[in-house]
Amino acid sequence: MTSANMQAAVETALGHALAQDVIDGVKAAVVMELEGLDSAADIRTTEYFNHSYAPDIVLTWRENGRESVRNIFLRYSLGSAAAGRDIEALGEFGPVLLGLREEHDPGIINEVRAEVAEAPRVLATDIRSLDDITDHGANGGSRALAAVGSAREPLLRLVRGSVMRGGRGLFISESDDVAALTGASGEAHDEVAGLDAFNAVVRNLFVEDAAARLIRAGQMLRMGISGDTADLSPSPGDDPDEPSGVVRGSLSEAELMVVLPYLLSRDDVTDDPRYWAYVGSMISLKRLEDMAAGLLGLNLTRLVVPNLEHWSAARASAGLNVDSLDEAPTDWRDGWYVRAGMLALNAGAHLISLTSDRRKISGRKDSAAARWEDLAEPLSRFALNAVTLQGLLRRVRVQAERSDDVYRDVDTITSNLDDTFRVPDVEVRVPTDPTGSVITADFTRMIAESATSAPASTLVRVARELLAHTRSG
Amino acid sequence: MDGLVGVKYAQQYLESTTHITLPFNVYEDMNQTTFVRLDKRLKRYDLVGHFLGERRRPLAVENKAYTGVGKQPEDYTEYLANAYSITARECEDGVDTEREFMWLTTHPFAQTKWARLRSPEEIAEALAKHPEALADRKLDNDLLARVASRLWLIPLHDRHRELLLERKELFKIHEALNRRGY
Repeated sequence: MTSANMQAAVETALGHALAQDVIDGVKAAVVMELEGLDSAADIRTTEYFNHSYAPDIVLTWRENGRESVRNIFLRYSLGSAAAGRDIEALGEFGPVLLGLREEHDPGIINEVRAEVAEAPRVLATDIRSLDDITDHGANGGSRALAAVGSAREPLLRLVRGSVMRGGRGLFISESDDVAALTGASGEAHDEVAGLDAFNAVVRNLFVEDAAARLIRAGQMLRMGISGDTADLSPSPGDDPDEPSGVVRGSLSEAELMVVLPYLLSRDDVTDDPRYWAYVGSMISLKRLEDMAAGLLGLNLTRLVVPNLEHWSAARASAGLNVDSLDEAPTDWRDGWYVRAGMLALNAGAHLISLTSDRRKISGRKDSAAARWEDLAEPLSRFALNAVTLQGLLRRVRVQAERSDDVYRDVDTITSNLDDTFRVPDVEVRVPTDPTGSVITADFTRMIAESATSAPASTLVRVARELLAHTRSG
Repeated sequence: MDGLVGVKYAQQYLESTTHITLPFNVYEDMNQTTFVRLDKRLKRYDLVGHFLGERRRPLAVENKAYTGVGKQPEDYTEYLANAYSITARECEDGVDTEREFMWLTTHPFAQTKWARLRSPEEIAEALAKHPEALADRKLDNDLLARVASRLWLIPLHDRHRELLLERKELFKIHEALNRRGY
């Protein structure tokens, strides 16, 4: 059934001999349509069919911890809803009026259009038009087919997920607004114009919150594809933390899950770090880890690098990159990827893993402590807080209270005491890190961590330049 | 469209009583609004549904929008013959569905015998005028009484619209009433 279109399923159901079979068949097809659009919402059918004030289907979902409800009234067609004056009578509750059959009479369609204009929270649509924006519609060769591969594809996915929750107005395939929303062309030269057309009509077809999210997603795609990031430049008087001309706030996880993999999978999306910093500002490392499964195999470097300083992390580790040993790697490239549900940097022979959740990296158990002579040079690029020296006979901890005499103290100890010292851990700061986070680099576990959270860039730097460095060669 | 507007209003009026649901109308679903008489003639009703409640008694509604008496006396006689014939046919097929028949009109008619319009005698007279509806069957007095008890005759003035609860009000009380839809 998923590859068929629901209009045909509804038509079959309407032809059943027994009334109950008609009702059950129609509702089953509509529910399947709704599930195809929005798998996250709860869909409940009622005991009524085509009733004048009792809904046929009730849609509920949670958003930002709040439960939302939308009632769906099935009608044989939108003409039937017009004849029953349903839009005016039921409009106060912002329901969906869903036509089972297409309304062909242009006069009646205009009548419906005028009525929904007076009821700004009502969505008037029909099964045929929903078919046109669903996956099975696209596979079935509808007009949406041309959109696959272009930016319309992720936008259509977002429209699908939003239309029953936040759609409004007359949503039928013949309407100019819907045509602009779903787009007829996926050609590259039309893409940016298409995105502009999308953004121009979204507010006509979605209530405020849903429209803002879709516009934000549309803007994000447009900037990435066109490379025109002028909107990200702050104007005089603007809050420097907020890009001007850009819809503020953040996308939901579900929306990021659609847009982010798409942007990352397109090589022609801009490399401009300002753009990727803007994208990254809508997401935390934790949220990125939550959606890791959807980012597998994608090179995340463009996104990760400009955001490392802004994202907080708890732990980083350094290990041997076993992939780099492969004699003929097929898709090997240095850079950031998702591995084991975390961000991981392929860096030559090393693999640096980064997480917001310290439980995800337990580290090695029996790695050898570092040799001081291997650390002296890289440590010069850090502010050294403390060093632990482990000898055969004694364990010494050298701490810097006010100066960086730690280096000299360590040299003195290692050269004068009659013992062989290694370094199990050091405490360092990155001089350019404004948070002043203190990072412990544990060479026996190959882990860098901070007591609280620290800028991801700081943890990565410690893992790469200290932990990994000691294993070089 | 005008006919559909009329039956939609009738549907809203009857559903506003909270005792009835009428999902099918003749303009949008011929299958569900068509019944067969003993003589195999088809008879269509404007609205079809059922009463809410455990028995879910089925209901077929003739909706008459008249500004005068019109052809109602003759049509009503045929309506009575149809109600009997359709019920008899369903009984012959093995199940008395206990279908009820409603005549909903915007103008009264036959006032001189208004009180008798739902009587077994009136149905018998209707069948005498329309003998083809019996298709050679003998008149069944028991069935006459049963069909008579299932008849409704409701005059509905246009201004009644102003007395109806609004649908947004009905929507709110609907859940509190908790009537089973089916």
